[in-house]
Amino acid sequence: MIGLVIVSHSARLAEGVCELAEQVAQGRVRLAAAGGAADPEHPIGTDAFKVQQAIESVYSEDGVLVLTDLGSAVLSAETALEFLEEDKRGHVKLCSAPLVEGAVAAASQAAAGASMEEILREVEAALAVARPVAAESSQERLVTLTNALGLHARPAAKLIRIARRFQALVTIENVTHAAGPFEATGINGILSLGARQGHRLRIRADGPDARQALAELAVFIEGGCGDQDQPPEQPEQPGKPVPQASGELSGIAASAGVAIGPLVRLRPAEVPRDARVVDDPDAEWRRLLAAIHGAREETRTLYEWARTHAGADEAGIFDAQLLFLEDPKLLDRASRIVLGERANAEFAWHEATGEIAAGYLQARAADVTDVVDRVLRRLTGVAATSANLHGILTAHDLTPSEMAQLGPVLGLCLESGSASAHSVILARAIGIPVVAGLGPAISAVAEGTIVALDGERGTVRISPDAAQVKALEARRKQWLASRRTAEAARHRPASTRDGRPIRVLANISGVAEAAEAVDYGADGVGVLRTEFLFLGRTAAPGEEEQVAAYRAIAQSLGGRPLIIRTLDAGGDKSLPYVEIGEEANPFLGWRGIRVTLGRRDLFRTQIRAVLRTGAGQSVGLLLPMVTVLDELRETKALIQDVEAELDREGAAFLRDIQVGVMIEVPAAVAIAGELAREASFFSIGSNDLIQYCMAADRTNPRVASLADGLQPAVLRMIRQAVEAARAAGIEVTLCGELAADTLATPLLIGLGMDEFSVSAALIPQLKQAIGRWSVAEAEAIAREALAMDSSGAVRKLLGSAAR
Amino acid sequence: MGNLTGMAVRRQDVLAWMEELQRVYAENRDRLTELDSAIGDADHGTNMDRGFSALKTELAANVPADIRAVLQTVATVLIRTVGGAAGPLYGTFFLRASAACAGKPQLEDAEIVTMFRAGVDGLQARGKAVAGDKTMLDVLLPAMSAMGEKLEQGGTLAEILAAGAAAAEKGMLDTIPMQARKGRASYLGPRSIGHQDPGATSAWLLLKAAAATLVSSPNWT
Repeated sequence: MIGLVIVSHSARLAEGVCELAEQVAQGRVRLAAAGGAADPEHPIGTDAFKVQQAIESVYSEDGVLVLTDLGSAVLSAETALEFLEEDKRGHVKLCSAPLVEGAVAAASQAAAGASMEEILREVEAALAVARPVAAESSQERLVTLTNALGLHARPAAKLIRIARRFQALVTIENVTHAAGPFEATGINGILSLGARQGHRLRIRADGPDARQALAELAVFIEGGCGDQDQPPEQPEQPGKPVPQASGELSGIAASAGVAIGPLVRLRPAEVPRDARVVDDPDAEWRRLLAAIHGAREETRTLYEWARTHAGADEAGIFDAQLLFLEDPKLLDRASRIVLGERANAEFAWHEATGEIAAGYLQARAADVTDVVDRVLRRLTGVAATSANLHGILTAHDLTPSEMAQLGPVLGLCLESGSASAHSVILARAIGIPVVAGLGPAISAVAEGTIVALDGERGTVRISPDAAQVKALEARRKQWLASRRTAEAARHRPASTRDGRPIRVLANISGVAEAAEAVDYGADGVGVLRTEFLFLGRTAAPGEEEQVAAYRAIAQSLGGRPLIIRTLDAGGDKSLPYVEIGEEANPFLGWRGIRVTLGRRDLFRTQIRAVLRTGAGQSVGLLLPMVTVLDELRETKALIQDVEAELDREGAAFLRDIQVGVMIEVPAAVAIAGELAREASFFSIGSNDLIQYCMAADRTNPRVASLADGLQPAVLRMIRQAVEAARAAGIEVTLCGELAADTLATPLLIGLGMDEFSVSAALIPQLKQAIGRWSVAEAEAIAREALAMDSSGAVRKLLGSAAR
Repeated sequence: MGNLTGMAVRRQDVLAWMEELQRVYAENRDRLTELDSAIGDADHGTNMDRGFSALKTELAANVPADIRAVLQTVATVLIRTVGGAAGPLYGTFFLRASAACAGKPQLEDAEIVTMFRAGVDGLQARGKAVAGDKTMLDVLLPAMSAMGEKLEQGGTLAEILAAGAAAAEKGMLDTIPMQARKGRASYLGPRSIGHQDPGATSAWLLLKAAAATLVSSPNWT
């Protein structure tokens, strides 16, 4: 256990800092205070021997970190080291971080199981925050703004990013326009300079690296602020391509079903922001901060998305939005309104952003409104969608929360997205037909136009004629009837027509969803995505919290099996307490089991919780993103270690738990034989397997058709994994969107699946689909599909087999 | 009586140096504090006096066995009682100085210089100051140079220590026009100019007392 020694001139201060650190240390860090001098007459001072004793009292080979306040405390601490034994000295680190920030940062890191090295890095970061500007050099320089658009949001964001790289305090003044100087830390200040082409700017930098900061900023500004769009921006063309009055658009068949109705568009909702007085301004302020934090995460995701899909230049606007959310001036204003005036968070945010944004952001009003609303929506829980839309909704894409708020829409036309986008998965779960990936053509269709959407063929007919409407309505009736039958039969175990039982499990991510899954007829839970416990908080859930959640789920399942997948962080899921850092390519980065094996503290706690939950329950463990055999072996070694530990503690737990691996990386398929010999079961994660196998992002409409589970390459990979499992005598589950696609059901049964795991709401239809086929028919379809040379051919085969 | 084998500093000489220091710091207590009140926290005189008074009590109770042990005791007491930066700094000086005396019942002239140098090196490493930062090092570094030079020239111990004390005095006065770059005084920036550094002053007193007390006595074996 890492030790932390707080050295201060004041005994009370040292104890107070320990108290503060104790709050985050959660008993996982040894803390010792070494404050005050030995002389009771002159208690203010530091005493090297006190420091030495404090170090000894918390010493272990994990190391001791000593934090100090003023100058001579450092001297005492260093002197204390002289009195330590030689071999201990190496394990003691002194740190010049600011005492309070440093102590809290160090304690929270240490509590999270960070190594001394990691802690020092984190604490150094705290140092950077509180470090006063060294007044060694102060420089200034006049430059002329050359780019045509002036210092608008995107170049301002870039400028701030450059300025923030330096310790020097940078201010910028618009000499031509007599505005400023403003610190180059907040985007609003920089934007309010109103700097346009030809304006003279005075950049001033104070601090040790002032010269370098000035040089880089001058090059940036005089070089055109990195703006590529040198000619002034064209206003949006009012008349887009002529609206198509009739004809058929084709996209991706994303959710089965047929719907006919008038086209409606998504409208932003009115967000309530009335003022009221709150009882607990501190809690209100925390609520606002949480919303801002959430909005930042969301914006960061948008930035990443835009950067990948449209390039860094286009993504710049999201960077500007991020800086807007981080602007100290804005946060300061908002905090005054909440804490000073005891106003509610919605009102304060609206007021503060209104004041800050007034005047100088007109040109980018939409962008600001967007980011301001992003926070308000989080505060009020109002999604951008109005819930009383009827007809067929068209949108660029929908967020899951917007999907969840959808009113009685008949169907969904999406410009972007694919069959496996989150919004589509939800639509399928609630039984709304969807055609995705229609591109901008659908937005050109006037609202109110009658459209007929066919979620099985992936087509949208604009203004269908009477005969077309009649044919489609017949199909719609058929589809609805079949859904009702499936609902009625959902609690019966599924089996093929000739009687081979196939279990249908649910993918869930939450305690409440367990009961819901049972209600939908789930035979158990095939994947419990434990991220729900880890996301949206600042520290990892503890063992007891996890045990409580897993137990509640197991109890809801009433003896049905529960497969718990270990934390799958990374990729698009980042956690504040797992420092993943900037990755150029998060989906090829530190994610899944790579993270948990690197953060043994988190992993061990989760495994302990799972094993303890397993006592007297049917629980299995599933490892995400397994790529090499060692990952499985290391995990099993860790499980053994945990078992021994639980034995020593005399705790009740599940011994020899079934450990399955997710097959979602092509590498795992290639070594499936070896994995199958050491794993208890396979769970094929089709979404990731498809995107890694096809090297295609399913959210990118240009390549979404490649990210298709019916691609021969994917089918052959699945086949290979199943064969390896068969040879080793273990079972295979298919989870992911492919499993939910009832068109593919016979093919998947034919490939040898023992189980499917899908969103709970899809279980009735899937069970129904399974019952339509005999094993022999399914195997024949699989054989034929495996010999085909395109996903189109496979789809055609499945389509004709279904009729 | 045996043979005269040379001249050396013995334990009682070092004890005399400490006694002298106790007297000197008591006598200069208010002056040091006054200097410190101009650019620091007005406690240097009180701190030094407290440390050396405590040392006197300690040495009266137990007389350490050899020079090394005497200096070790000095270091320990100063670290424990002086407070502020001076405690660890002078403590380190005496601690490193004591290490240089390990296994030596008495010290030859050259060994005295080595002892001082070890102490000053330790103090510099601890405080991380350099010449010109307006600290005790502005006294100790020129004093070391002067002592080293005098030793090279074949000077007697008395001459060596006198040269050190003289250089120390000059170094102390040289701190007056300096701007502090270390310690509490550095917070004042340019306003620290024009004041004599209290730490430099106590360091000069240390060397002056050494020159007055550390004499080589005839060494009979």
